Amino acid sequence: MADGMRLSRESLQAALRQRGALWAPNDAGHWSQVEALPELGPIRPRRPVKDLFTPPRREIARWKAGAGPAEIEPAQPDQTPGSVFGVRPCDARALLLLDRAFLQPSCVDPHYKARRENLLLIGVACQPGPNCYCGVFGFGPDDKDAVDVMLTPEAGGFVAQAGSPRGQAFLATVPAGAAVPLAAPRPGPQPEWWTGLPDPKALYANFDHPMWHELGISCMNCGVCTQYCPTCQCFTIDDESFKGEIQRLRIVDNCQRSDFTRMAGGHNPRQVAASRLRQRVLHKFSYIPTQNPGLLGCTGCGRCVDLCPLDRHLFADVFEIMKRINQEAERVA
Amino acid sequence: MNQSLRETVKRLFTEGKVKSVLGYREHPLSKAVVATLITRPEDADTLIFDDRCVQNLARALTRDLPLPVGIVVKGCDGCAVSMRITEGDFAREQIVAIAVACAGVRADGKTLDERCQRCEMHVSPLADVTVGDTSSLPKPEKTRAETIAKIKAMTPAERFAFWQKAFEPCTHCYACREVCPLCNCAVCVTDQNAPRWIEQTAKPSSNLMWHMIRAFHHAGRCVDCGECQRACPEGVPMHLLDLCLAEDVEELFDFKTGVKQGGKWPFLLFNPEDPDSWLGGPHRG
Repeated sequence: MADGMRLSRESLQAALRQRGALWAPNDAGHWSQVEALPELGPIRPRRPVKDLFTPPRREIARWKAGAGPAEIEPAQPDQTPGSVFGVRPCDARALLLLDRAFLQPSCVDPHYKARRENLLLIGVACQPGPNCYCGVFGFGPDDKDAVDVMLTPEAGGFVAQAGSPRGQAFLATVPAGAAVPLAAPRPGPQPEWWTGLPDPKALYANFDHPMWHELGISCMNCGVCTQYCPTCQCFTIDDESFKGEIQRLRIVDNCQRSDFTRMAGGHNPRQVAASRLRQRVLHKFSYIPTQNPGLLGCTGCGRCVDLCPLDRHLFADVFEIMKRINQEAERVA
Repeated sequence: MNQSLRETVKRLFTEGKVKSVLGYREHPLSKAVVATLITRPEDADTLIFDDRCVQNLARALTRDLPLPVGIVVKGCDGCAVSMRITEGDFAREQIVAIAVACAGVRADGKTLDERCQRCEMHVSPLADVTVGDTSSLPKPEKTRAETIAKIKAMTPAERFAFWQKAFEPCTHCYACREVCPLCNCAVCVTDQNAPRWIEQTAKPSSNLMWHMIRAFHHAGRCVDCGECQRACPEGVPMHLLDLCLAEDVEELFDFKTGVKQGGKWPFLLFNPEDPDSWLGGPHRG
């Protein structure tokens, strides 16, 4: 078993400040720039860490309104070096999925890339809440694979282990405490009734199943689940003007809104609520794993379960869907 | 309660009075209470009603459901359904209101919801059938006037500052709109882009614009089900604004939303005698 490194809160904070700016969740669970390491709650904050990498509102360019050709000023990527403290494994794993979208070689998002390159991810092991299901996806609350450094809190400080070469290099700059043997990684929680992830192909094969409509009635397509989801990444482009200055913005969008797929001519392939609910489930549990073997569109953070105004439960829905598909397949066989 | 609810629903099906019923069921796995639509009498055995049935099912009423549709309604929900009939969303005979005696709901599983503490409408005024014991329902513990007293006591400047701060965490997710049984515009003002009435991103100006328009659209229509505030993932107290407007409408137009069908209905009624003090007319003060 590898050793971890004992760090005092003060020496960690000094080393992080030495490196640059510092971000952490605030009392409302939103990510903001801080001067000192805050006390964290036991579980993941209300907002996922994606807010720092692909924020809900980001300027792409601006120009002055008026006659003649506009002088367009593209927004510059934020190259501030720094660290993000308090990243939970579910949110960090979600960034691996966002990387597939925003760092694909044919179309790199320079803003996202700058943030990913400049911000060190300092993970802190959590105490899972009642709707946390990272265990479903094969990792646990102290998983270090997607962060640069994983910290396990202890009295007066942390036990640190590196999750990446970059994290290793950072730890070398912190005055070393005693080496301590690391405990085995903790298993992540999963629902007691859960029996395993659905087969992506079987889900897609039931695209036209009537159950989507039955489930549809329990959902109002408010999209809160997508807005707080650490892996949801859809955006749209909009302009805003203020006192003669126009900003072009990339803003968050989501597949649950009725206008998400509405064409200019008024046609809408996802006209009814059930088709939008189906899109969310299939995207996360069928399309993404099919197109990116080894990745899933969900990391089990459970925010969608916590925040659903209608008390819907993504995992319970997926489980019920699979149970029905399997039962029907058995009946045919 | 559950047994008599199920029997009532089965009877409505067998007598041919409904083709579908919107109700509540307990999810077999998550144990959470979710909305369900049943179309066969035998499925009535999944229906429940208890203090976990927090949502207002009137939001799920659409004309593409098999009609006539039965709907399980608490007092506030029934007022909303009544309002939608008054507004012409549905013909009276398309809806069968299954009124349940409601002693209030507990969204957190423990304490009575704030909205229920001031409830004067434990049984829906729109009721084709009534289920449960309506004789021993609780009296309100507080009044709407008490709830909004702190807003009313503020100066206009203090009030403006209060709301600006209150709207700050809004992310424009519009869950408050989706959950509202009376947000029934064909195209929401915020989804229009020609002209663009409300900018799409969260900032003080657009937050204020959204919440002002939302509240004004509900003046004289809001039934105080409080779903908007319950649904908000950021805890914006927007329902307080609806309550302030409800108080004004009651005072100025002598109208209490959803309580009876028809009647004086401020939003769609033109009356030369309408109070117009805001125009500086003779009713000023």
